[in-house]
Amino acid sequence: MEGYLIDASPATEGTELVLTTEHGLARVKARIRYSAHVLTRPDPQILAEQIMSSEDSVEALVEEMLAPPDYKVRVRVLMLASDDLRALARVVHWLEARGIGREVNRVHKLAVALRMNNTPPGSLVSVESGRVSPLEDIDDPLYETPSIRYAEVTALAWHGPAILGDRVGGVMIRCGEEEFVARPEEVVDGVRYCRPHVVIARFEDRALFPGLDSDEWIVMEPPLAGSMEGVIEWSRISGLPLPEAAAAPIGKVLTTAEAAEAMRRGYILDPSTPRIEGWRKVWELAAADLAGGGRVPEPGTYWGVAQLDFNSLYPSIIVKHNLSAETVGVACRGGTVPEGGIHPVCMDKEGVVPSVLRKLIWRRAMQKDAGLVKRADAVKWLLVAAFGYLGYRNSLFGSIQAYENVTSIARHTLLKAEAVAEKMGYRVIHSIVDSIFIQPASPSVPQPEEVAAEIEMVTGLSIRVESRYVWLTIPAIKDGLRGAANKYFGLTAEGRVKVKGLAMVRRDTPKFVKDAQSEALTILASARNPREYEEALSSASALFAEKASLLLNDEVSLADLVITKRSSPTPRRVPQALAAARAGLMGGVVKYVMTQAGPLPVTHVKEGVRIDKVYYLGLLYSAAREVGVDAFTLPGKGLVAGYNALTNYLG
Amino acid sequence: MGRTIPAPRPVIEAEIRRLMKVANALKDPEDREVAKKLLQCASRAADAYRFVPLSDPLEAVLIGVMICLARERLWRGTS
Repeated sequence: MEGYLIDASPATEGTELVLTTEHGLARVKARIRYSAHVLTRPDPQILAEQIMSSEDSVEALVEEMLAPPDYKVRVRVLMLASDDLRALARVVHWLEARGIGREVNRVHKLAVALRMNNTPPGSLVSVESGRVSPLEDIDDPLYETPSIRYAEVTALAWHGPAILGDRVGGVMIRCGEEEFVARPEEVVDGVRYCRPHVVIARFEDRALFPGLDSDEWIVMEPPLAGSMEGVIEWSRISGLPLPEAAAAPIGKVLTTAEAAEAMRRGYILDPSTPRIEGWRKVWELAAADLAGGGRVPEPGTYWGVAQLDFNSLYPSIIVKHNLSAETVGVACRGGTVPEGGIHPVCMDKEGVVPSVLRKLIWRRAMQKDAGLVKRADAVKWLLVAAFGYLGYRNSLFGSIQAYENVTSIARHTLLKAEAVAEKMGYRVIHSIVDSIFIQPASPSVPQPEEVAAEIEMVTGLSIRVESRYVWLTIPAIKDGLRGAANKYFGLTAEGRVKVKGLAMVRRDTPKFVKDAQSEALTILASARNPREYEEALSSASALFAEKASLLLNDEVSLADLVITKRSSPTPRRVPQALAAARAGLMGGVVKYVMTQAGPLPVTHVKEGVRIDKVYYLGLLYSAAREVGVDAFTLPGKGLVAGYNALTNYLG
Repeated sequence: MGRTIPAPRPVIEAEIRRLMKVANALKDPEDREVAKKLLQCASRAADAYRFVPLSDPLEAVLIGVMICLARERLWRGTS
């Protein structure tokens, strides 16, 4: 049998695999070789012989592995292998319960086994007589898109996607190009019509419609990887089954990929060998404990700006300078402090983190070149998370010193980039972490591409011209004197409006405010010179005034005033939580409207509810200020001023 | 962000606020005005402390004020 592997779970004497077929899903039993590594008190050879003579389903042998923290010393480890995960767990438990041994390399056994067998979920496999074999090269980033059919289900209420306790009006079902709304009682039939292998449904949808949990398909959360293609990519990289990869934190995907690489090298992964930072003087800590570099820009509108972005700056630094837990701050011959760094680095062998990231950077570059945007985006998230995980002491290869080296080298790199741009006749108007915004200081300057090439030569790190702006506006922060470091919007040379950090791209902004700001930016986008920009600002001001009047005259739909926030922790994938949620007891998403009596959940909103207009006016005016409109020329200013004064007074 | 050491800008701004109280407490009204004007320049160097550790917030304030004074002098052509 052949098909795309989408799910797998250990079963009695084997592993159950779920494969796609033309007609739906096929569940087949297969033999997957699981392994466990145990550090033992007695000679592992004697134990291996005893286990081999008493256990039919578990194979035992002795392996030499490299011990943490620096992986230079070899130790003998008892290696157990079996097709039956339960039998394997039984033997490990027997050894641990008697104090004979302690399991190391406690990783996601199924994911690592599938990855090391070259048959990760999301790839095409064949299963013959219980043996699983790959039918494609899993390291090829340009693999053919798997033919996995899926349906997306979203329950709808009066305000949009329903939450627990809502009265559901209909259910949006999407499959391929098709999209339709089914009645609540027809959800399962509607999904069946799509003939999906996978159903993507939020926790809330599963709680509202228990019928979605069916053997006919696999149900999974809306993917954190951004798309079905993204989940497939994460599964192929990590070996995690698709439903797990969809809901898994990025760190789990990374950790599993790193674990597979470490085990390929014969490394022992032992959380009881902590990486303890050495003693440091306070000034040494102060010198190392700095965030990413950046400036606080002058607020205003700038003309003819180019934005230069380093390509995956932090991951590239990790790879270039070999920054990993087992290479930074450990004793070795020939360790050197990299330029701009703080701690010495061993360069005698490639670290696990750089090794994994090097492959991911290559993978993403290939996919970007081939136009496989969704896959490349999914890999990008892994690269973004990789830096944070390096500084997380509980991660497998986390190291504070490696993390500090990354930020230090990045700051050094940013300063170098600024200096190059200035030397080539540009003014740096803003820089933040891995981006610099430059404007010609005189009429005859080289092209931004030439500046990028020079920076690349000087720093040894890849940088590109991300955008050329006709104009770029940096809004002022509340005091009005300084610009916001992480907010800007601009019109690109291609005529596209690019927005960062404004209300319209924030998740908790109500639709009414998002729409107002978005329309204002559309007006500003018509400006091609400073005079037109001033005129467009006047039009945008009139637009906000009109929106404020609509609000004051109760002409805004209640659905457009709903505020959505995520509450944490989200009770994902926990059966008890799912049962409780079905009984209406908990949920991960909070939706409310602000009324004169305070926030009111959407499930309790009734006709004639008195909304807090001053609160919404405040949001609207804040959005207006962000795009440069003077909010105090708008109607209702007295109301908002009073509200703000009261808020300040109450603290 | 840093894990243990606070971000530099809030520390520098707290120092400026403290010094602003000193400026307000000066006896001579002209001195008060000059001191307040100078302190408006005080956060000018704060950016640099995202790249270099801050040893004392007063150092950042003094550098900011000195830059302003020097630039004003240069602009007037009296250097």
